[in-house]
Amino acid sequence: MNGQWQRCDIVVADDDEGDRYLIQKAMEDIGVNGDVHFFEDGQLLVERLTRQLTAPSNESRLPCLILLDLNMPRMDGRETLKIIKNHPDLKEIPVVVLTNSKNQDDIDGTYRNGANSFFTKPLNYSGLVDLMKLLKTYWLETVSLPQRAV
Amino acid sequence: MSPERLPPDFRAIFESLPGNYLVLLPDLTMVAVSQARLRATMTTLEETIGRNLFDLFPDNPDDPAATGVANLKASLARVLATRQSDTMAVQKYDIRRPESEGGGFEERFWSPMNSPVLDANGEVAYIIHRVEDVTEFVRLKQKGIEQSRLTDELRAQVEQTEMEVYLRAQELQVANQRLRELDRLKTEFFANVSHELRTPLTLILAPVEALLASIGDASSTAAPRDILQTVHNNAIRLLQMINGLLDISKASAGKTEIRRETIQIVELTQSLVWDFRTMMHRKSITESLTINVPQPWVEMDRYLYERILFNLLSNAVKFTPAGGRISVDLDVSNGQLTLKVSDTGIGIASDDLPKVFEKFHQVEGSSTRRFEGTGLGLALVKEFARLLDGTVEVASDIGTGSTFTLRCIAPAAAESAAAESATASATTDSADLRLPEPIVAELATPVAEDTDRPRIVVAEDNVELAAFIADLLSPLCSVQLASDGADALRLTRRLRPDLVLSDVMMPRMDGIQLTREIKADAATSGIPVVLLTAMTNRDSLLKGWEAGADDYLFKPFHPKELEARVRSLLNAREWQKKGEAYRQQRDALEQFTHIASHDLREPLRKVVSFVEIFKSRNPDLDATSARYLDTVANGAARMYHLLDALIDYARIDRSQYSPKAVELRQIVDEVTRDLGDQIETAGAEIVVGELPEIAAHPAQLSMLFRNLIGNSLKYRSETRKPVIRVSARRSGTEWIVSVADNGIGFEPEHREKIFIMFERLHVQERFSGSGMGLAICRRIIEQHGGRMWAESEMDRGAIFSFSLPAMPVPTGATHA
Repeated sequence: MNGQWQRCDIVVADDDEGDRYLIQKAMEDIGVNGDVHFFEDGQLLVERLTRQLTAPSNESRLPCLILLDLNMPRMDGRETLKIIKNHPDLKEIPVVVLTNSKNQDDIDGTYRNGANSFFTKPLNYSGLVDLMKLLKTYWLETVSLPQRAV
Repeated sequence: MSPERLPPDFRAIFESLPGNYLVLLPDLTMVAVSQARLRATMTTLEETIGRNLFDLFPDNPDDPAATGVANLKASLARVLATRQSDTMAVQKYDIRRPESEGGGFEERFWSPMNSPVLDANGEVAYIIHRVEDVTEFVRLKQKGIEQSRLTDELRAQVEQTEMEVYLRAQELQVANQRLRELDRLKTEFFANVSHELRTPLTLILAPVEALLASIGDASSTAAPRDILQTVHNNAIRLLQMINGLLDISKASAGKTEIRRETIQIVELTQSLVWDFRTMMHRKSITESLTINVPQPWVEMDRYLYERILFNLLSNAVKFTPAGGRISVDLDVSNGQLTLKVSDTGIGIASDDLPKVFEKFHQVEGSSTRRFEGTGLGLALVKEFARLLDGTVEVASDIGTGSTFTLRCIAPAAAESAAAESATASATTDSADLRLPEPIVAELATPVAEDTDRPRIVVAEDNVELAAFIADLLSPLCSVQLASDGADALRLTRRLRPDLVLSDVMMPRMDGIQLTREIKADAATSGIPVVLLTAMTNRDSLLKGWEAGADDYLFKPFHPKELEARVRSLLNAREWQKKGEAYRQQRDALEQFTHIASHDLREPLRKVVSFVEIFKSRNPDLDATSARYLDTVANGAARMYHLLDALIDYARIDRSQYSPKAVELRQIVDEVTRDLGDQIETAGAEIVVGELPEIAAHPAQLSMLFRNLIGNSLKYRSETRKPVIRVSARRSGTEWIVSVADNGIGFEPEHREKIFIMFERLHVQERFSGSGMGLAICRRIIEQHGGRMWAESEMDRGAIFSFSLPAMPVPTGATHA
């Protein structure tokens, strides 16, 4: 987690070990260009992102996509999202919420706070692989991203 | 010594009494009258004595509707027949005006009461006719707008209160029934959820265990075993969660019984900590156990103690990072048990400390971590500690760790410590006996602290009257007496009685101020207040209403009247409390459903995903293993759909969106479009008649039709082409909508049963489903203020119908 961030890295904040494993495996299966970095809660993610901002300019790259779980200890995804989207230098990073929740209040709330997409974690592994493919196609291969991410 | 006195002049005393009294012989000849009454009726002593009552007081000939004479005659006849007092309703009984004052009749209103005076043989010797002149009060009530707005409000309030009391008494029965129904539903629901979730879980656990055993150590690589182990761990997590949920719902439903038995507390504690050692050592957590128990044999509920320690330990293990430390401290002395479980874990923020023991405070979609960690397990600990008459507390610092402390009584079991346990219970007793100080009179029959009986606080500075009221009401409720308003307020705040009965004139704080204080505090404002006042004191009457008094009782009151009034107010109060309990129970049910369905999804997802990965990594599995894996996947999918249905069910009346005008036709069209594949597979025809526009929640109606049409498709006949007809007809102020099919139908006696959750009339294998579809439909319709029912005969198709209120006159603002 301390390595330098490359072009188009993806960061994932999820407290559940099993989910981190599944996401990593799905990313491996579909093959993504950048590295995937995992954080166990929102606080660790925010700390790393802000540290990234103060790094020497050639290393101050930001991830091109954040996958954010909502329910985590210490700092949950709702709080993390607010911090990122209210931070002048972090708010440009696309944040995709990937959670166990199906709750409309969560959906409404995260969009209101600036989330770029909301997904409920699929029941099965192949569903997760499909979702990762979709995210890769859209965020990594189709849209244009802010300068510091690429 | 004082000289012999003459007997008092009773006649003179009687005649000068301030009240309106008239004494009659059984033949209604008037024999005595008070001066006050002569003044009130504009008559003289001479024209009264020796005359028949109705000669002197005939009905007003100008008032054809006059009933005064007839009513009074009837009342007097009742007194003669029953030899008991008879209180009459307020009467219009006009009084003849003397010629000197212009003649004719004067409109008068009276509140009369007739009481018998019995002779030595028990026969009626006299009747005392006492009346209160309420003319002014009634006129005030009748005068309407220009006289005083206050009067109008007063009248409205009187009528409203009376109506409410009446209605509530009626509804009490209904509410009771609903509560019982809800209670039954809840118990049934938990039992059903348990069964429904455990069945597929067995289908997950058993094959995985079999696979794990068959792979054994001979397995080629370690990885597949790890994956399978993950599946197994998640299935076990599911089982623990379901058990925990059921435990806690049972506990909060009061279903857990306390069974204190003699146990060796030290050995039990050691063995439980021992059970966790493997797990701790795997995480390199060191543990320590400190025991300070001079006498290890105590009276304790083994199950509850075990569950408390188990949950505290699993919580500690979960939140303590590798290399940390967990210490358990057990101290039993003087019949008091203190159990401390400390960890060097991540700690809990002080803001969250009060919340860690709450089970259902979490919002929807709360994380598994919270659920297992500080959610359900700790809620269970708290619930079980409460059952042991104990407490559980937490102290924590972020980053340093947490300490959970259980305190409860654990009376020593051996004789040597019996004395100590006796002291312990003696202290408890004296605490219970700390009664409110301002009690001025003991009840005639002392009432034990009986929570089932309604409680009332009586504020009356007259000790005798207070004792009389207490006597009168103690068969109805438990009575607490207060000698003035301030005492009554203190008692009311402490006891939260079901009714406060208060005199108006009292030292320190009068009844009006007491009413104001009670009504101003949200905690007590729901308690009805009845003021005792003299009818003639109109000023205090109005002030009392303004202060928020719920009812009045006029002094002097008839015992029966007091009893009846109190009884009806207590009824109303009970209804009100039942309503609150009903709401709470309904909320708990919903929240349970929500938490359960959301939190169980997570481990379930893991089971499904890891089974899939395992399968893909082991393409050349033998047939048996492959079948096992399919069984696991099917069980998990079944559980997952059940959880989705539970979420839908819980969501129904949480919808925060207000209903809007909906074209039913549009909804049905959407649903048939969505179900296109299924309809095609079944070769079904959907015939939609004319449908109305209705005020409703579109998403809910959509769910309703999806369930109904899906249901008809599922239970189609194999020999007929399925035809499903959706139609509506107007019936009075509602629409009756029907979904009729020509499927396999069901026995007519099952037409109620099918709306009950998890009731399946058909064999599982053939018809899959959550077993909740129709229960959801009925709930949606009830939520919309309608009813739902079904008709069918075996193999003759089924008709599902529901009513929905018709929309009021169109506002013209409808749009597509």
